[in-house]
Amino acid sequence: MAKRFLFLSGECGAVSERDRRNSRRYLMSLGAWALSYVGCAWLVTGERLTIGPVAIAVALLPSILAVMAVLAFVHYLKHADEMQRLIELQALALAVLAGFVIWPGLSLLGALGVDVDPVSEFQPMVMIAAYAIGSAWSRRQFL
Amino acid sequence: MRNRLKVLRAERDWTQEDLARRLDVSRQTVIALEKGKYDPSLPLAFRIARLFDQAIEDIFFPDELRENP
Repeated sequence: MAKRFLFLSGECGAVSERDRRNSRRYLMSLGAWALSYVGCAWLVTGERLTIGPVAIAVALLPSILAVMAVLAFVHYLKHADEMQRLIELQALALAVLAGFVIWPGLSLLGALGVDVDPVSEFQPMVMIAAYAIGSAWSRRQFL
Repeated sequence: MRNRLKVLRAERDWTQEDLARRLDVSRQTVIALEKGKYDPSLPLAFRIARLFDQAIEDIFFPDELRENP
């Protein structure tokens, strides 16, 4: 049973050290962005900062870290093993497609009066789930 | 696409890890290639051919050629 789901791990002791190192780097960048976003949102929305250079710098910090995370991901993709790159691109394609598909549907629900904010609530979650499913599906396809 | 990668590797007594290192790919790529689940890019196919000192078409062949050589 464990062997059947080995493809989900993405490990199998088979991912190259370079891919592991680069993916760790972009995951850490992503983590730094998420933490900074939560921290800065707490500071900004709670009116704990008055408008000024410091407040603007705090508000911009997550965007700067987001750019760094994107650059780390691009670096990872650029240097990734070619099959690993294909797996990532298939997962990303599914995530983007899911994001596009879910948005109009949820907008229609919003037009009907259902209290949903598609972009801030559901769309990122759907895209993350689609990415995870796409990644597992791609691995299963090849391994 | 099918291939003779596993046979060629076994002839040289190389592990999948050895082959992966020589081709500068991950072991999971070698595993997928040997199973015929992944078709290599053209540059990788050339690297494989050069490594085994054979023509690409002597290593890789379409499924129908395998069934009716």
